[in-house]
Amino acid sequence: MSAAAPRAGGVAAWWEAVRRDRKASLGAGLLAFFLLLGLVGPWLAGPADALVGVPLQPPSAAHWLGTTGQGQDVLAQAVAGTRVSLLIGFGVGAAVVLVGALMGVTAGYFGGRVDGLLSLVFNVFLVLPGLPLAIVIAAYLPAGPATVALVLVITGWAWNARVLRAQTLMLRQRDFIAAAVVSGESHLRIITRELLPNMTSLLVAQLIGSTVHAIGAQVGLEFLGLGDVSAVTWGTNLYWATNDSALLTGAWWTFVPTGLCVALVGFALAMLNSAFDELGNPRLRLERAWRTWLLGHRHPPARSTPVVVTRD
Amino acid sequence: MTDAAPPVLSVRELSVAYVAEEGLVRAVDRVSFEVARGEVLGIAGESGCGKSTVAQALLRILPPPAVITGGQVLFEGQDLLLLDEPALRAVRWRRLSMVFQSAMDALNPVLTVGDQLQDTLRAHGVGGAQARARCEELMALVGLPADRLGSWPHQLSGGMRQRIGIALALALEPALVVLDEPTTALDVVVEGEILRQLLALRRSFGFSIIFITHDLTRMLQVCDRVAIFYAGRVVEVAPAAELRAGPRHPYTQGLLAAFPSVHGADGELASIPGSPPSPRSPPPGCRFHPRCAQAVERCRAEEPPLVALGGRHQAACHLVG
Repeated sequence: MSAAAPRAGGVAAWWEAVRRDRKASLGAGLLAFFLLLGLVGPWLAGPADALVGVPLQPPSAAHWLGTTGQGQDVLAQAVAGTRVSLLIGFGVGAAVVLVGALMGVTAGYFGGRVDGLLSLVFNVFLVLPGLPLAIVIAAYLPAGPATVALVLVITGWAWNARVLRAQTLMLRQRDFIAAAVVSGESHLRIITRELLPNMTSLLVAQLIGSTVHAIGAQVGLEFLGLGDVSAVTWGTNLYWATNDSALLTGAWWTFVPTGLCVALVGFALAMLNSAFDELGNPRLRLERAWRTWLLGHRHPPARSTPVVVTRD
Repeated sequence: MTDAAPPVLSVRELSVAYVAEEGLVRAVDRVSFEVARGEVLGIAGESGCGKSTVAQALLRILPPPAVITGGQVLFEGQDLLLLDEPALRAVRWRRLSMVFQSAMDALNPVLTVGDQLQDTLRAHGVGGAQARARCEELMALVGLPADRLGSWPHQLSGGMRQRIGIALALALEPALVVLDEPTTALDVVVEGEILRQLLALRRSFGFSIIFITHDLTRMLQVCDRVAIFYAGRVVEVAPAAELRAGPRHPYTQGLLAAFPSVHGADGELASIPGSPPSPRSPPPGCRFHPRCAQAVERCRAEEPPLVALGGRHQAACHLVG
């Protein structure tokens, strides 16, 4: 029971941080919209694969965003692509951070030979060029969203591991870790209760960054035709749009909606990140209050302690 | 020290606040004091009374969310609170320098001591062979062998590091050095040695010192004059000898009674009941009245001004003067 209280407070604090920050509220709202779209959109927009009309028709009352080169409804396709693309994006983002944290923290915490071995592994992965490797692997594995996800995890985790190892090495030397060791806590407990909570903001930043990267890379791979081209995702939508010479024929409505979706999700995640920065570092919140107060008193924030004569 | 000479530093009605989400928290409230040329002024008080805040406000190096909300800091004829960034840079370190509490944190761990001294000199226009010669001279001044210039901070003891901190502060021959609890982390033997040396340097170079500490015994030994801070206010200012012999403010009396006397162990140590008020909601009237055994009705309602009690002794209490 007692353990649940701070956890609840934690969630409340996160919510509060998002609510208080205008940028983060915007990001959260946008993201919630897309999540909802992924969840219930297909029921609202109708079947994505159905050949519903004359190919390559501009937006009209019947098809709000026009039709594709095959005569499918563009709106239905963009909406249907949301589910798979977000699922892969967030799934890959989480997996990348999880694998990275596992490898990085283990290497940093235990040091010595464990560190030597793990560092060797992730240094090898770091020098492998990410996207070309992803293309090569994707070309050899059976096409499909799961393959794309696997490829992105394999090529994406090493940077996170590297950063978290460095952070662990730094925290490892702090007195509170020494105190935890002396008080007889187990390695697992020290890692999960002492080390990881100190990296919360870093982990969240990595999660967001990895998710944005995963969505972009997935769209890129599928755009190149390395995914399952019969599935409906944002990537395959764009693949078919170029296949049908959308740019040559000026059929902007076949790629703009999907492209805009990708851009907006990335934008929403980036906006959210700013609030989580403040959450991981409570001092930033005070600094913002300070900046707001100074601007309210017509004083630009300065490097030297500002002088603002108040009469109250 | 004659009273006729203009003071090096004259702080008038200085107020500092921290911006919090619920409004301003006043850490220092209308504080005034002066430092004469060549004088050692001590600032003493409990943790959180605003003594370090004042020190950093003088150099305008208080980090956010601090704001100086009023007053004047007249240093060598100019008000530091009116200066812009370049003008401040010209004053900082060249005329007004500081020794920080934690010598380890104030030194860069990846640069040798010599590099850091030279960086300081170079930043203010002393370079080349001249800078190297000055480094060796500074090391001699603080009692360290010149071959230590090649050492990294981690190779030095706490006392040696703090000596480097002092050498850095004296590098440009400032008129005033602020020592913010410089010896708190050191043992008493090393502390005594460093302070003795510092006083000797002061005598030969004539700079003034503001010495901040919570060790009242040490302060009374070292300083010419002492200002006692309580909850962001100056409650008593007096020459050290006078303060030791006859503290007037009940808070000062309590502080002195709480410290063991070096000369002759007479009487029991007393402690002041309660704890200082939160700067978020200071009590009305005299800020010390909730903890004061002698408080009367007037103390609860009216804030006592700092009044002269003859000589150079001042106190802010309704019961005196």
